[in-house]
Amino acid sequence: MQPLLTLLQINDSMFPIGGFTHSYGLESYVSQGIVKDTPTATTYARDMLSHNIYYNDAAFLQMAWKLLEAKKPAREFQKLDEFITALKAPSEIRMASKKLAVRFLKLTQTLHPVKRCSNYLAKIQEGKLHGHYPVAFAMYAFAHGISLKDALMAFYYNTLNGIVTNCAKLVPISQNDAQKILFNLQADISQLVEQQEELDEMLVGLCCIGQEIRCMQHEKQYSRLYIS
Amino acid sequence: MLSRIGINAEREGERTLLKDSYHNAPYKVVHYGSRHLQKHLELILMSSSPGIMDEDDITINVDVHEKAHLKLFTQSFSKLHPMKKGAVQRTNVTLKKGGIFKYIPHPVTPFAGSIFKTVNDIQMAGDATLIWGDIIASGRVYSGESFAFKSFHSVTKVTCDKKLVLLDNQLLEPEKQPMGSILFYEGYTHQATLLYMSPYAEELKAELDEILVEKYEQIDFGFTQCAPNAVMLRAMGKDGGVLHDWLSTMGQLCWQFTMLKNQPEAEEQEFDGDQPQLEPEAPDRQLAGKNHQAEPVPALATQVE
Repeated sequence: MQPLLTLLQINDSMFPIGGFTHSYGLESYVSQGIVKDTPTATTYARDMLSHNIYYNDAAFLQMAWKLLEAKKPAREFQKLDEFITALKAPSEIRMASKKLAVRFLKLTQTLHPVKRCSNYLAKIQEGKLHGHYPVAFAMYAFAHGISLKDALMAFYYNTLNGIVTNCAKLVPISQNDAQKILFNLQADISQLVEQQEELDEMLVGLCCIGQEIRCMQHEKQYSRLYIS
Repeated sequence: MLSRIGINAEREGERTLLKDSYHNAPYKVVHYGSRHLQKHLELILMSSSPGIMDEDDITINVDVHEKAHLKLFTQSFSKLHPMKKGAVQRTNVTLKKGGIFKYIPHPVTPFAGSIFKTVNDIQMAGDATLIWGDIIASGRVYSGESFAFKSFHSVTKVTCDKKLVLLDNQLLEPEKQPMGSILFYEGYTHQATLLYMSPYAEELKAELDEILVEKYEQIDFGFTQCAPNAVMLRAMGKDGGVLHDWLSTMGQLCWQFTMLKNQPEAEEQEFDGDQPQLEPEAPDRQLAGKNHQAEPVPALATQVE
């Protein structure tokens, strides 16, 4: 098994778990003319990473990782799962996390089964746990000898990749501009990964009010391409 | 200054009564108007202080016992004065079986240099109902003090039958965050949140899907089913008064919906949720000895109480 190759594969935007079907509120921003060109797309992308992903999905990934490292029992994972569910208020965002988790777990099970992943999937399917993508991702990456730093770095990268790809389709911005955003935010990603460990527990799950409202408004958007 | 406020609402027969309340200066808990006008309990939390000062430490405990129905009001906007160390407020609510609690305080206005942390810990029984609101302003907007506060941290945690169901964590630090920009206030100056947690939440959500179809000029809002038995409504705007009126109207709608659904089936009547009006029909009730006026409410098929 090659950890780097595994990471590249599970983190690929083409990994068929449905990542490309979610915009996480971006579609509302675009339809309301708030994200409308390359500068606003850049601001949106950068602020999403540092004010949302850092405190939420990346933090959840790290929390799951710490539980795995400490070989914590299933009860701790259940608490984490409930904690994440309680924080993800907009229903489309909560469901996106679940759908991605289920498809990720199903697919990775066929590649190389991991006991913890199979258990997680079974509990989600039984309705005992909600299921969240960052936790599923952490479980599989951890089992394949990938380091936390690499897993986080890749996770931020793919999240940003999703954002710029969606911007290229929705705003639209040019593919070149999308790639420039992806390249120019390398330093931001690297800094966020460095700081992830220091994140104060009390700040995990911070919500950005505007973004959360746009995610809720997406439920009522008349015409839409994305599920969230 | 250490302040403690305690409210115990208990059901006796058809009425909810205030038992064992306590408070110390500058706070006071009193009946809101005549206590004989309705079966539920209406209280108002008053303060003789101009606002929350540096190092203030406030604890509010609200216990709503089995089948007790309580509406708690505030007197005015809550002002957070300039601080060095910061102030803390803890609100602990327990809602027992069948209890109903509505609390939509006036907006909080953080002045320049204020540092505030508020933690709301709500523990409820599965069949209880919570109607909870909060509004956070950017500051004294007309004095040019938008986002001039240091830090505002608000945590709201709701457990239902001891299971964590909702956690809302917001930290506003204007020096570190682009407050006016995308993801944050996006040009607005106030944010508002209304939470309805109830066995009837899914049904209410279906009503809201019908009612809240239009966009308002002054309020940018969204709502969602944030947990199995919960609806969350969030909004941004530029006027704390308008947001408070709207949130109160929506809160009253939640209250009446709950009361209607709580009736035995034979008596249940169709809920006719018309478009709530932005401008309340009646002005806010005034305290100073005036008669008890009805709260502005959206039209319902019947007055429940």
